[in-house]
Amino acid sequence: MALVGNLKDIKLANLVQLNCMEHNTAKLTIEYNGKYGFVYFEGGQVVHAEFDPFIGEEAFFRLLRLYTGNFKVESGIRAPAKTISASWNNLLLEGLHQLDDQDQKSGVNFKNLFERLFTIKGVKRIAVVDTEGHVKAKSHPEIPDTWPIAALVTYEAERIGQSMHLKSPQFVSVNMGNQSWIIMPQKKGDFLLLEVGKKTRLDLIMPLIKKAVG
Amino acid sequence: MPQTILKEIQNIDSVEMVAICSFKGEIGFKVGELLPEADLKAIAIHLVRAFAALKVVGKPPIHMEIYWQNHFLHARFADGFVIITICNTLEVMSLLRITLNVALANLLQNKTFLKWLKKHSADALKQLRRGSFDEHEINLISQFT
Repeated sequence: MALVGNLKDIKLANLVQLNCMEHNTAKLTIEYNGKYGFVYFEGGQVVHAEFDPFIGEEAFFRLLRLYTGNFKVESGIRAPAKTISASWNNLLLEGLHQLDDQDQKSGVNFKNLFERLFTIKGVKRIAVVDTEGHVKAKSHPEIPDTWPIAALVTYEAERIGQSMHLKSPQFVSVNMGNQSWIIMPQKKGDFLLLEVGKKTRLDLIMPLIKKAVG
Repeated sequence: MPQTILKEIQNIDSVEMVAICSFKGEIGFKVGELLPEADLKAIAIHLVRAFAALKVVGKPPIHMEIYWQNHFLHARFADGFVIITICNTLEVMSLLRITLNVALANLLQNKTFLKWLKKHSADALKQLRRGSFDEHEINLISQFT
């Protein structure tokens, strides 16, 4: 029987560790935002990975960056090719090292914050954007590096507050039919932008978000 | 009368003001005196700019809500106009959204309203090109237009 779940609940690094320590031969499929990624284990080693358009170690490292996505582990399926020769523990260490580097480049470690926010049902994607629209950290690689629209919407909300003689808003919500944005101004002028599902109820989700942000 | 429809929204607990503004920023109808007309007009223009920016990237919003400590602004966008509601408690949010949907349907059948809308209709995108902008707005708008 296949093991199924979501990366929100169990991290990919833990799944890899589990399969390697158990000396499994298996195929791990990850479905994320309509894209599929695969990791193959043989005799407890990671031997192949694919994540469109990447293959081998690069695909594995890209998959490690995912915070969310449905996964399935099917035992006994062999890899169609061997593109990874590094031992599983070295591979995992290198991948986690790259993740740390990425966080350090962005100046702040948002990894823990993203992980806390992704435990909230309805949260799909997260970005930290500065007032100029530059994305300082993002949960998903396809989020653009600049997001001037998000910065402008936040700025217009602040200007509205000024017209009402109020300080910066606590948060802004924008409903676009099939998705919603929740924008929360942070310290130093940055703001947190969360993309949530259309059925997400703000009154239920906001206390959880506030708690996660701290 | 549009005012009667707006009164129904104002009857919701804690609603302080309701106004209908065109995408030009003109105030068509309003109930409540919370803000001077100049401030309300400025608010409408900022809302329409946010709407237009999102429309440019293919994400036109249905509504936008802004929350402060003790105030809350709801903007319901429709074709050519926006209904702005200001109240001071979040508890009425669900009721407000439902009431606004009904109000919107009633407005679109109201002759006085439709006559006003026809006279003041404008493309929201014009608010990204015309009017007074500060340097920061110009910089952000120039990145996607």
